[in-house]
Amino acid sequence: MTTMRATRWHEPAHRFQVDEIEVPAPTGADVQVQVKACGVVPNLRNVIHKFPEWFPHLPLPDAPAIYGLDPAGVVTAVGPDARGFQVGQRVYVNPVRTCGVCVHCRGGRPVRCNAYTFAGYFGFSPASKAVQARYPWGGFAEYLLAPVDSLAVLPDALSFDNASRFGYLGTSYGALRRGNAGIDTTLLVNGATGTLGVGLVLLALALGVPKIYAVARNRALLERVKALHPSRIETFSTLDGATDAWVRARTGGNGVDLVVEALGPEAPLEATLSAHRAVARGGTIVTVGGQQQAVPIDPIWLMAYHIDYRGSSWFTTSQAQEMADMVGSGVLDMSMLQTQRFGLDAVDAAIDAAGHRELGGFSNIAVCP
Amino acid sequence: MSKTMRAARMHAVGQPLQIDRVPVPSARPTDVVVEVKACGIVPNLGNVLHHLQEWFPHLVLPRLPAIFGLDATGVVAEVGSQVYAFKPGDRVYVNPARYCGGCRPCRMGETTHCLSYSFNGYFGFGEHSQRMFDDYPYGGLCEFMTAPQYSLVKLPDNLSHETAARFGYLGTGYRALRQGKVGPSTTLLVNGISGTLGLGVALFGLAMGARRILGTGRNKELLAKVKALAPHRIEVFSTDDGSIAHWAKGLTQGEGCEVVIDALGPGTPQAPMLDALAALRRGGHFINIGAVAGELPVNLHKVMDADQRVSGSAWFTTGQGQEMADMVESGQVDLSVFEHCVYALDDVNTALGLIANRNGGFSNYVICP
Repeated sequence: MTTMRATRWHEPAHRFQVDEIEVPAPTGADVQVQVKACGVVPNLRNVIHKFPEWFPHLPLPDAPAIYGLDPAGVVTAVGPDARGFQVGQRVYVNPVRTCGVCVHCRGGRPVRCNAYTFAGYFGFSPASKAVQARYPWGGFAEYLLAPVDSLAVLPDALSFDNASRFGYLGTSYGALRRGNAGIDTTLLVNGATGTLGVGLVLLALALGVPKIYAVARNRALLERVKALHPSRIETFSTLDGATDAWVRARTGGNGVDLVVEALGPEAPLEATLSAHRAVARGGTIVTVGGQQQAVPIDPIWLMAYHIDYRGSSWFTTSQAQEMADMVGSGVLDMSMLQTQRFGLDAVDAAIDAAGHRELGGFSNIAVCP
Repeated sequence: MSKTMRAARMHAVGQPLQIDRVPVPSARPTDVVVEVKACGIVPNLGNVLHHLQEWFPHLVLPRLPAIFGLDATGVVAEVGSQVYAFKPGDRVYVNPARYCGGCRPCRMGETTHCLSYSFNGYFGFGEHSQRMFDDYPYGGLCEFMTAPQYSLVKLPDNLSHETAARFGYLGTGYRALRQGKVGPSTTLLVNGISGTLGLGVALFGLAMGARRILGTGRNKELLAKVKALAPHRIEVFSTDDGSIAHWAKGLTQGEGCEVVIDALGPGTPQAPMLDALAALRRGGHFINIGAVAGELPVNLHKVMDADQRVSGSAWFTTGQGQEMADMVESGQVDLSVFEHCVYALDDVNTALGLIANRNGGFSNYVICP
């Protein structure tokens, strides 16, 4: 038996432990990927420690569980039906797993599948338990199996470290696409210095968004954001006043076409509300943030001003491929991200580091088995 | 001395409308003059006349004395020198939506987002709305009115003026259905299905092929009448009998509805609206066209996780009005269910007083000058 090292979360011990377990062999349309880097997001600590209490309806994988949301690596074996991929290819593994057979999966809209599940993270309904049993492999291990339709091919210009950022980067990309961001959009990014926010700014630049209003608290990090493209990005610290007044003063009183809400779970409600008030008549507010409190929304305002709130959950594998292609062509620049790398025996330290990033969203935390 | 006509005008807020003699207008180059045959009055007109400035101080009421009347239909009596597609004798509905044509949203083709968007004969949304009312001072409660050529919907012979005078609220429902991309696979929930707005949503939802329409209301007699429109496709539920979400999920294998359109009237409490929001399925779209007031607490985290949309829809374009007229012409939509309550211009105050006694959305109150 060939074995590998995998960092697993154990219950009731309630801790990570490096175990030697069997290397899974691919069947059907699965491929085996040797993990080179797996992204660690700040929210992983919440998922493991808080979700059972905060969101009891979101099932976690059964212990001992291999977490790890964003793996990138090399194909090392392919199942008999995994056409189109060869051993040696560099790939990002989209952790989304669905049932594959419901009307929504068959209709090409997997996000609507009731069994929608993130491998190595959590699921969205009781139906996720069966999917988690079928794909119990997260990225905190030397090898994993993934279905062939979850793979994005990486260009040489895209490092494994940067590809391991694709989860939150893709969430930002999915949000911008959900809001139809493009060359005719004025955009407000609320929470622009965080993991989602920096991704939003980078991808909005890549999509040709002409004007980006970047709002956050930390002035030093906002300066870094501004430096990404000083003529297209304007920054504002919420320490200096109300977001809506600042934006309206810069848009002839009209507000912006698109607000993307990307504040973290602890942000005050007023920071969310003030940004939403900056939307123009007919505008869209896409939410990918972690705001926990119910947000008061006036339904008459929604109607009379044609306002559109759109939740955006993750992204599709084809969108991951689009991001990889943008890095390959040079349209998307990820060179300013700074990766801190951790071994399989240091997953706790990696999660700690993800919670204390001095460079905000410019920091990238990866476990590299 | 110029020709004169009769017009119902409001001279002071809270006072009855007064029948005055005013000059008949003539057509400016891109306008037509329409001889009004029927003008719809909606339950909300009384609110607009009596309470608008107090309830919604940011909305603009035309300077008094003013001719109100939102939904006018009639026959073209005169065309301006630059009118291309209409001639005297054409039967038309006049879409009361006025826009400037010159602001950025207008030039981008989003005329509903016009910074001066105003309803002729009703109220306006923008700082320049009064100028719009000065340009188009005639609502439908008079014998002749001016209208820009862009506002005209050509009526087929099988669409009566009385029925076309209902196009305002019908169109509001139609646009919401279009926003929700309602089609053959849609399970649609209409919150408030037996009202003036909700019944129109049901009629056009049927015409657009929705496979199933779930409708809520209070009055069981009216609900039974709605169900009789298409007994095998419509299910109805009285909110006196429990939770909307529980009922809707029970009919959809626990999943909920793809599209929820809220058409509750003014003065309805928030609880049934929140209940309907909870009936939205993963990936679903909630659209408000109703008049529930006050800030609704919305869990945007759930909206994000479930990839949902929560938006408002206002009115409809002239193009959409023409689509509706075409659907009547071809028989795709059946509008024969309305019970017309016809009043002369002299009896407009009586009609406004009686509209509270309507038979739900089935009653159609029109003034025929």
